[in-house]
Amino acid sequence: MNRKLRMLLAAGAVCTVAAGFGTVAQAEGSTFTYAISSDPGANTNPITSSDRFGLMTSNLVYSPLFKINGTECEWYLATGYELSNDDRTYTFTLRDDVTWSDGEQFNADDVIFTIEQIMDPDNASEMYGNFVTAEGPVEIEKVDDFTVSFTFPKASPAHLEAFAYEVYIIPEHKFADVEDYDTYAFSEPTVTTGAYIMTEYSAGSYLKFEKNENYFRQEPSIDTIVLRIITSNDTAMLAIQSGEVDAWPTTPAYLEQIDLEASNLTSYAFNQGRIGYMEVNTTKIPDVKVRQAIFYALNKDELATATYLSTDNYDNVYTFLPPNNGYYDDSESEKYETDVEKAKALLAEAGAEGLTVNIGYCSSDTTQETWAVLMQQQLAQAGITAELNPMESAAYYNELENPDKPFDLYFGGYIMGSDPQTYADLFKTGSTFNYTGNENAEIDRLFDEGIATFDTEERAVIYKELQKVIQDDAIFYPIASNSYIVLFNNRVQGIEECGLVPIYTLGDAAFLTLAE
Amino acid sequence: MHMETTKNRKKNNRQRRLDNVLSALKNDKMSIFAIVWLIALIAVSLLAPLLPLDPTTTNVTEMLQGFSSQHWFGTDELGRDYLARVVYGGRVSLLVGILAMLASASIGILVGTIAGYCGGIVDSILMRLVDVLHSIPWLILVTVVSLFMKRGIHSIILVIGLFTWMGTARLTRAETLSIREREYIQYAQFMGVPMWRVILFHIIPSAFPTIIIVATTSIADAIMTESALSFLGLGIVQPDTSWGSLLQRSQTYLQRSVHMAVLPGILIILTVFSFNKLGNLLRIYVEPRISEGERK
Amino acid sequence: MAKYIVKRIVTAIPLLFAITVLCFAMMNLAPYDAVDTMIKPGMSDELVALMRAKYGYDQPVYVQYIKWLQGILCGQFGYSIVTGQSISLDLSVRLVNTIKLILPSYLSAYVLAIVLGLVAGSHKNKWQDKLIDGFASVGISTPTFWVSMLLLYIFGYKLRLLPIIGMHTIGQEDSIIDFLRHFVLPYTVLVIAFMPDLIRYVRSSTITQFSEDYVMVQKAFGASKAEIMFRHVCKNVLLPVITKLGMAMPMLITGAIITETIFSWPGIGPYFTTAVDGLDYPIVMAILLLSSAMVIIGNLVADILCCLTDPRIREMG
Repeated sequence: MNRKLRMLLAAGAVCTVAAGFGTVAQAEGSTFTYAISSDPGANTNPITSSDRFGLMTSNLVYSPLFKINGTECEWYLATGYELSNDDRTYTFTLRDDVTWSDGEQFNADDVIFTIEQIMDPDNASEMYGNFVTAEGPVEIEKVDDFTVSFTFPKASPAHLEAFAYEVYIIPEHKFADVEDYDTYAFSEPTVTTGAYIMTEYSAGSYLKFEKNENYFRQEPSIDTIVLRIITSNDTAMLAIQSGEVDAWPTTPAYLEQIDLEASNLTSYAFNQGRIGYMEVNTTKIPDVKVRQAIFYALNKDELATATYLSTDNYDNVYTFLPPNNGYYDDSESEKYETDVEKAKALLAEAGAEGLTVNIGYCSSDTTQETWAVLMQQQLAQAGITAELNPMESAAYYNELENPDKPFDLYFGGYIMGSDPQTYADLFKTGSTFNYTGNENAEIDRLFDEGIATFDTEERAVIYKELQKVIQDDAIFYPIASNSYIVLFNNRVQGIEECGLVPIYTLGDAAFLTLAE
Repeated sequence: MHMETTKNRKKNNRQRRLDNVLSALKNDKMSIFAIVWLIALIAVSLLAPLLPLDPTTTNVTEMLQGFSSQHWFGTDELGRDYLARVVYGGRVSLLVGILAMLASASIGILVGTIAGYCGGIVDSILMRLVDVLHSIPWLILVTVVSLFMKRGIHSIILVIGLFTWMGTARLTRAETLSIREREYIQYAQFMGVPMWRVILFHIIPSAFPTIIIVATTSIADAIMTESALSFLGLGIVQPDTSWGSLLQRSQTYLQRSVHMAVLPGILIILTVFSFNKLGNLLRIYVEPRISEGERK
Repeated sequence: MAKYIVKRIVTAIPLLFAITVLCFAMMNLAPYDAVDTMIKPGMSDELVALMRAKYGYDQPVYVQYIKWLQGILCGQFGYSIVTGQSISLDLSVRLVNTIKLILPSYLSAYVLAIVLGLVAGSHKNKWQDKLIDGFASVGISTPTFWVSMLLLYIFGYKLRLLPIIGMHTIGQEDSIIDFLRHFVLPYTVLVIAFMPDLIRYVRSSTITQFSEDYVMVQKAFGASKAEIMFRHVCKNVLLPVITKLGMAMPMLITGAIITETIFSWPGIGPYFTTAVDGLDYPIVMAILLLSSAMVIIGNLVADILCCLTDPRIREMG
């Protein structure tokens, strides 16, 4: 009996191998497959989603009022806006020629409904604080079917961005009955104004989208888009090379190993307004001279090269704003060019020779780990002993908020909004997100002045000063502004028209085409 | 007539065991290799600081190079000499293996002997505890616990030690149960010798052969476990390294620098294999009536 | 017999209870929770408090536990904190996927191991034995994730023979051939992982049997090796090996966590690791409960099989 079973198994094995020979199967029809590294879940909706791929889905499926590109507004569902004399009321005019994918007309009711949902505390939406400000909630008024006005209790140039920042309009007639957005699970094709309709969700595997023929900007060229969930980077690297996926966001470390020509790939890198940085815990290192000494001992080029390999993949940055920000100005900021002798001198002045520091980093983040290891070596040259203190991701980011955290130095990375005001919470005295614990009244004052005026030139002067002051304080050491890199198979065209943008990556997927 | 004295009998016994071991060695070339490998590994690990190896100096201009006369095993992703990394990694893996084994064995022996000796309620409670811990799939236990432990060598040793003692406990308990019935133990109890003395000086020495065998395979298991944990990202802190964490790092560079992945893997296989073989040999030595390959 | 089974089940319940309490306590000992993993700069304290209340974190620990327990007793596994999905729904899909992978692998490994183990044991110290035992010894010493990566690399990329992601090519869910092509690599890894231990077990059992008296008697009676093997030794070897099947039941849930992650196989493995990373305790508790229950059931099944197949134990009562 055992022998028979053995033969059966052998026969089965031979059949399997025989069937396996041949090329890797390609999906039928016009399909574009994009590899994503985590599962956004079936309940991905614009109100509660805050992860990158949930937002990417929102961007594919729904539309915002407008998007901000640099300092320009790109209009989507709205056609323009007017600001009242007291600068507190924004009145938007909406397009009257847009229909939802189920035929219903899009109008002001949908916009009002969406903002109301965001302002509902039960939904715990990430954008809540943008519309329910410290001074009070926004007042909404429906002027007519295609005009809405929003009045803020206090005027600020940063308010405009609130409408473009992750606010995607959802259909009132579909969502009115939804009680809990978190448990609202995908069960039928979505009703959308976006380029694509979400038609299928397979947990842990993929999300599938079909084109929305009535998309108000342009009928999409590609019939189907699939977001394929591949959690392992190494698997994804093999998949993009074998053609199983058409696009994959990647890092320089992987990029370096791929022969782009042989695999028919092109790499697109764009600045995503992100800064990878190191910050100092001022509660543990209160002397600014010591902090400056540390900065002078570091070698920014070495750190950036080790992790991002070449300047194709990153931009140098010297202040708290990313280089693609309209108000970036490092002309007066101290750049802390590597100077080990100066570092030693400063340490001697401060009476801190033989300093030991505790460097904290997120253990699962290889970039941070590399920086920590390199910094340990760089600091040693100035006589500073560094002890490495890795923590598991959730623990680490939680610990940063603790004023008694054990780290002297720690790492992070951020992408904030276009308006410098969005960075205020990270540097103002007493803010929960000011992990450095720094208390500098001048920084506070400059941030407040920055939103007291709407004049861009005045603001530019203020923010130039602010960038200088923060750098003088030596609390924030920007390492690099790393680009977001996406590998595309050469059969994917129209990438320029589609546009590659931070967070959502595909600006407007309707403009993508596939060359067959 | 030739009276066989106790001394002679013991000598004959030992001689017979040695003969068994030697014949096993002759039959199985792999066993010889295993012993040689272990000796070499331990020697290199101990002597590592004296050798001209530098595992921590980074060099951003020489990242991910292949074999060369300057770097026999090439360099890693930060330009460090890979041969040095592998040797120092071996030190750590070996250290973790041995210390974790000691931790696990201590707990296991303690629990097993007490449970076997006392019997009754104490035995029941302890065995229930063993059941509970054994019922939770090991990976789940370890992942959850490591969430709030500080990363590093100490944590890994503790984690492995805390969750792998159950097998040792069960075995020791079985041994204790049978040893307990021996006459000299019963005399000791009768004379009022305190429990801890009996366990420490009588039961454990009698159970020693079994313990030693379990210990050797424990080292092998601990090394495997450490590499799995490091692969999951729960392992050693940089710039220290172990074979497991070298493997984990090498995944990213598999396509370009296969040697970074292949080398530590092969070393793990050789070492774990050798420890297991050693365990086998010890078993032959310890239980002369059972020839190689049999189960008790 | 039935009484014995009932008694075992009854004593198992407090065990399960203890396990859940232990795990819940451990997850709550961590100084941070699932909400902490979702916080971003820019969120006001008020918002964070809202989020906490939403998931019940503002209640004391034992209240949270009791609520969870109540849910379980009603058959509700609850919802994931991070994704909001229904856990029972997710589990029903993922469990099936995991079983689709593990059941065939384990059974294949099992059958192969029995065959190889018997061959090795009956030819002790000859070349068959040396080869098989060598293979088993090396197999035990090899980390599975390493084998996975190498196989993936060779077959998925270098030779471009087989697909490497997931269970199906999208759009071909009904195709068996497509499933098999995705299935082959993880299947091979798991078979290689499960076999060595079983082989050694069977082998040493066989060797022990061959050194027993009854074999010598049979030889004296002139029975051929094949006869001894198939009529007597097999049965005695297979009896304890069958109980191994029972002990392997928990593998159906957690036997392939690492392999599934590497091959992006949509089973329990990645689901669990993501949940632990995000401190999504309802998911962790649910999986823990299931797998611990399987361990207990598995032990019970092993014992019962033992009773059924070995008349000596049955007689002892």
